[in-house]
This record gives sequence, C-alpha cells and structure tokens, in this order.
Amino acid sequence: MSATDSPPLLAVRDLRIALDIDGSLVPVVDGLSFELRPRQVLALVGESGCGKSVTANAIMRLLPDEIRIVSGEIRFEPGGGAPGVDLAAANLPRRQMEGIRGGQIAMIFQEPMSSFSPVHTIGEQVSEPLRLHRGLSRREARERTVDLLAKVGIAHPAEAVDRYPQEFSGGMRQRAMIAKALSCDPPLIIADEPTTALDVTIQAQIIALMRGLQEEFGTAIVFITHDLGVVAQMADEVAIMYTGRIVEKAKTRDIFHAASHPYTVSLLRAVPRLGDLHLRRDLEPIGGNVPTLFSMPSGCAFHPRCVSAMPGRCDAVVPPMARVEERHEVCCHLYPTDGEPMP
Amino acid sequence: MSALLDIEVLSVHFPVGRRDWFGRRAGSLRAVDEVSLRIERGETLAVVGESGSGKTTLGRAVLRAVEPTSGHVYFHCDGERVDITALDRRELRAMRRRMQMIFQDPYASLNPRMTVRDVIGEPLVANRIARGADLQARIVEIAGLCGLSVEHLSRFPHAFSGGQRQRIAIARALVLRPELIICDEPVSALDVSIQAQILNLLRAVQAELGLTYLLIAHDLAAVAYVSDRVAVMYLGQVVELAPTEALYYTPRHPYTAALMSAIPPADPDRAMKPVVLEGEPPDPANPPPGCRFHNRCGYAESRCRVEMPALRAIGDGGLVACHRAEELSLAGALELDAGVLAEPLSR
Repeated sequence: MSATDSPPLLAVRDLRIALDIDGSLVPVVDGLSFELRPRQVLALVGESGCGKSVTANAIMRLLPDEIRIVSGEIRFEPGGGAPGVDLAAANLPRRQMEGIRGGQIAMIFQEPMSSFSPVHTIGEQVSEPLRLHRGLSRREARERTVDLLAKVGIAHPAEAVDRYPQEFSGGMRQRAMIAKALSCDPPLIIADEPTTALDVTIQAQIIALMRGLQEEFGTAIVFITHDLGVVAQMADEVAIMYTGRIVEKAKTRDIFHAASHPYTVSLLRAVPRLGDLHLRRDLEPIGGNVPTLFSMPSGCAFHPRCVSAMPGRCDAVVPPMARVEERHEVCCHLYPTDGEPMP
Repeated sequence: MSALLDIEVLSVHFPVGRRDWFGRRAGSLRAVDEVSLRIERGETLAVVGESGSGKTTLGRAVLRAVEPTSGHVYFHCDGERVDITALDRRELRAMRRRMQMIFQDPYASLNPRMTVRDVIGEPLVANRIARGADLQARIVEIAGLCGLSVEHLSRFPHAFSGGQRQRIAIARALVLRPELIICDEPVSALDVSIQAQILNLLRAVQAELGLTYLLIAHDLAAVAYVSDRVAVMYLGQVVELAPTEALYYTPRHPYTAALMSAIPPADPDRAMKPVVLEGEPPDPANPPPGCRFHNRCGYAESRCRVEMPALRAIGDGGLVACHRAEELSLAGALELDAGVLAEPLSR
C-alpha cells in the first residue's frame, strides 16, 4: 500500500486553540486541518507566532494552562490493533495520554540542553521510555540504549550511556534526543525545530541522520521549522502557516516550484540563493511586520503585506481554502473555490 | 580606498580549567588567536564562523568590550592612526563614539523602561553632544532614516516586533554618527521575511552615512548579499578571506567549502550533498597541533598534522590558510546550485 492511499495516522480537523486571558479568548490557532499518513513527513512552516509550535504541543497535550483547545479534533490512529483516540478531547484520561506520549508519539525539541535533565545520565534518560512503555528491566533497557546510541552515530556508545548531557556537545545531545524518540519505535514523531539551535555543519549531519532513520524505521514525522532549506530536504508535504491558519498546503515540489499563495511566493523570494550572487539581485523583503495576536487584521490576515491584495475583498472576507490542483490547496481570494466542498 | 581599522596579531585568551593554590587558572582558551585584518573605509567585511570560532570575541575585542590579551587595533581617524588597545578609559570612551555595536537579540538590547525617544537619544545625552531642540531634531532625523515614524518615538520597546526593535537598535547606534558599526548577528533572531528588510536597511544607511561595517554572522547565506569581503573563522583563526563573489564561487579553504555545502538548498530537486566533516569542532581550549582543521579535513596530509599554515595571499585578492590551497579544486556556490559536487581527493 502506498503512503497516499493508506488511512491517515493523524487527522487534525478544524482545530481551534486560544489564549485564555481572564476568560476572554484570543485565537492562536484558527481552524487548522491537515492529515498525515503513515511514513509521511509533513512540514509545518511559518514565522514566529504563526501557531506551529502551539499545534505541536497540542498534539502532545503539552499546552500551558492559559492556552487551551477550544474545538476541533486531533484524530490519532496508531494502527497495529491499538485503538484510535481524539487527542483534542477534553475528557481524554491523563493515564491514556501518558501511555501515548513517548510510546506512540515521541517529540524532539529545539534545545537539547533544556530538554535533558543534568542530574541523570544520558543512558537513564534515553532508556526511560523503554522502561516506562515497554516494561524493560534496567539491564535490558541499557543494552537496547547502547544499540540506539550507536544507531544515531554516537561514538563509543557503551561509555556514552554513563555520561551526563552537559558532557555532550549540542549535536551529540540532539542525536541522543533522537535515540530517545525512536526508542519505542513510535509510528509518529513531532520534531519542533530540531536543527535550529545547531551549527550548519552539524545541522547537515542531523538532517542526514533523521532522513536515514525515518526511512529505516518508517516513522511519520510532523516537522516544525521556519527554514525553507530544511523543509526542501526533509518533507514530503508542506503546510505554510500564517497567523494561526494554513495558507497553502501541497507536495514539497509544488510548494517550491508552483507556489500559489502570495505569502509563500514572497517567502521563497526572501531566501538568499548563493548561486545568484553574480546577478547582483537585491534581497526582496516582505514589507510590514507579522501581526501580533492582539492586532489581527480583518479579512485575510496577510492582506496588509500582500502585493496582490484586492481592496474591499481581502480586507473584508476571510478567504476559504481552494484546491488549485490534486493535493494542492490555497487559502487566498486569487483562487476562487468552485463551490465544491473541501474534503 | 583607505584603511579604517587595522587589526594586528590580535589575541584574546580566556583562562579556563581548575584553579591552582593562588587562584590562577591552569589553561587558556584561545578564543581569538593572532588574527590580522584590515577593514577599508566604507566597506562591509563579514566574519563568518560556527559557534566557538571566536567571531563574536573578535568583534568585542575591537571595541575593547573584552580586553585583548595581545596585539593591536589601529583606528584611522583625522589623519592619525590611533592604537585603541593603548588608550586609557577616558580616551577609549571618546573613541567609542566613532564605533558602535548592534546586537543579535533586539529583545534583550533595549531598556524596557525607556521610550524609544530616550533609547535613541541616550548616547547623545550621555556624551553631552546635544540637548533640547537639537537633541529632538537629531532623534527624529535618525529615526526617520531607519524607517521609524514620530508616533513610534513615544512608545516603549515592548510594543514593537523584532524587526522594528532592530530598527530602534540601529537608530541608537547611528545617532552618534559613528564611522564603524560592529553588527553581531544582526538578523539571526529575526523571521525570514524581516531579515531582508533589516539587511536592506543596513545597506541603505551605509550609503547615506558612509558607514563601515564589521558584520558578524554564523551563516554564510545571510551575509552574501550585503558584504564586500568575507572572512571565515575556525577555532580562533581566520582560515580564508576573499571578496564575496570569489569566496562563494571559488572557495580555497576546505572548511569554507564544507560550510557552504552544508546549507540546505531551498529546492527539493537539489539534494543536499554536504561535505561531511568528521566529528565535531575540537575544544578551543585544546586545539589540535598543525592545521587546526586537519582532523576534520578530507584533504589533510602528513604536513597538515604538524605545521600550522599561515594566512597567505592567493590569486583573486583572497587570503587562505591552507597548505594545499593551490592543488585543491573545491565546489563553490554555482556547482552546489547546479547539484554538482567536485569529488573530494582520495583520503
């Protein structure tokens, strides 16, 4: 069965998340829908404040108290006989979520230093999901951990298990975090800016490692990043986010070669291309600023910065999602819907 | 062109390791190790390197925000060649009007209790250069140049986005009409769509005010469009320095080529083929002998393991510190762009 016709592993439907300030709700994520199939890598791309990390934390049910899921569904179907579950459900039992977190959905964070405890060894922390979810004994977990550390390219894994995270470099810590995420062989990994804090040569190593392991383990990944270069190298599909909404969603090739939303087009133009230096091209910035949660523009939130904005329409009406091609959707008035409801 | 700044065999060492009986540290970390650079008046010189390369320390040592361990920094002003490293505190303070700094994080570098007007005007007040109507006129003029309106001036920094805060920081740095600006990662904390705005602004005010920039960055891509020359640092040393196009199109040092090949291309049809660097950068407190890059370099031979290469001139106006620079043919930005990678020589 190919990846496209298997049932979705994760289906987010009309997800709304809001910041609760003394009872008044400020939308952070506003009607988000996407699907992820087994073995697929989906990149959620956007600038700061677009809601990409909040979405990731919502899937893991790691939102702080003041940010809450207002409505919508996060349907997770781990397969292999395990029951499906709605991760957005308010009444999801804590014990059930704890079983999913780390066991069926693992997370890789941006800053590997702050996500490891300095008082436990790397081995203890990488093996924690194995002991918790797989019930392995201390000795079994340790043996498995040594294998995992070797798999992610950590030199001398038998000694490395007994070292502390602060003895590792940033790249090594990120490798250890990947080992921990893979330890229970989860069907889904959420990776939140996993290479952003790393130097570019180390980032290249980590991208190659993640790509190799993704193929080997067949893990689906929701990859959260702002770096279009990383997206091009990692993702099968891309969802471009702006102010809590997906503005364009397509296969990676189509995003880079047939971008349709004016925001996507401008974003791609703002990325420097080293092979163009002799053309003496000017950098093309996007004018204006990303709006804040409290000053959200009316209509399409991108209209004040959009070169194609149509007065009277874009500043008044929120555009619906339109399908421009098979598996390519755009949320922009330039692309009228043909009345056919989106699936 | 005339020189504005001469950095001569500048070193900054930080004491590290256990303290002995007298509280002295046993080892020293050579953050900047005998760096010599000349910055021409009106140019933008970018210094690029990964964490631990010493680029930030170099920028700070120029201003004496950290004290150099040895070496000299000469600033050319009013027909004189002033040794910044020999100035006393008062002279240094006066000299600093000519050299300003812009920092990476516009959220941390602006005082949240001051209005934008006071933030921008503070250097003028502190140096007793202007007051009253003259002060206000200077603030409004420089703010306008940086794309800030008069209404912005009475607000506090928290009301602004990252890009606007960086505009405020730039206005503050420019208000003294300095000659040299040291920009330490000026865009790396900003969103992609805003980075280009700020880089274009830096370029516009440079043309308007005749500024010289020392631009410090970790990312070769970000500085490509705004630099005249680029220096690449590795473990405290400059390993290559060349005019921008030459450096990107015909890199001479294997580290420069590796750094460039590691930038993921924003095109799914072009596979990233990074030159794999073995392991991680060595500990700067304990650098390897010979060429500091030899243990990660695919081209290293026996000579590289014992003899440290000097930074020397090579063709097209560039400088390189590599024994084998002439014999290597390294892939530059055009080859990477086309998805072709020169085969590394046999190990």
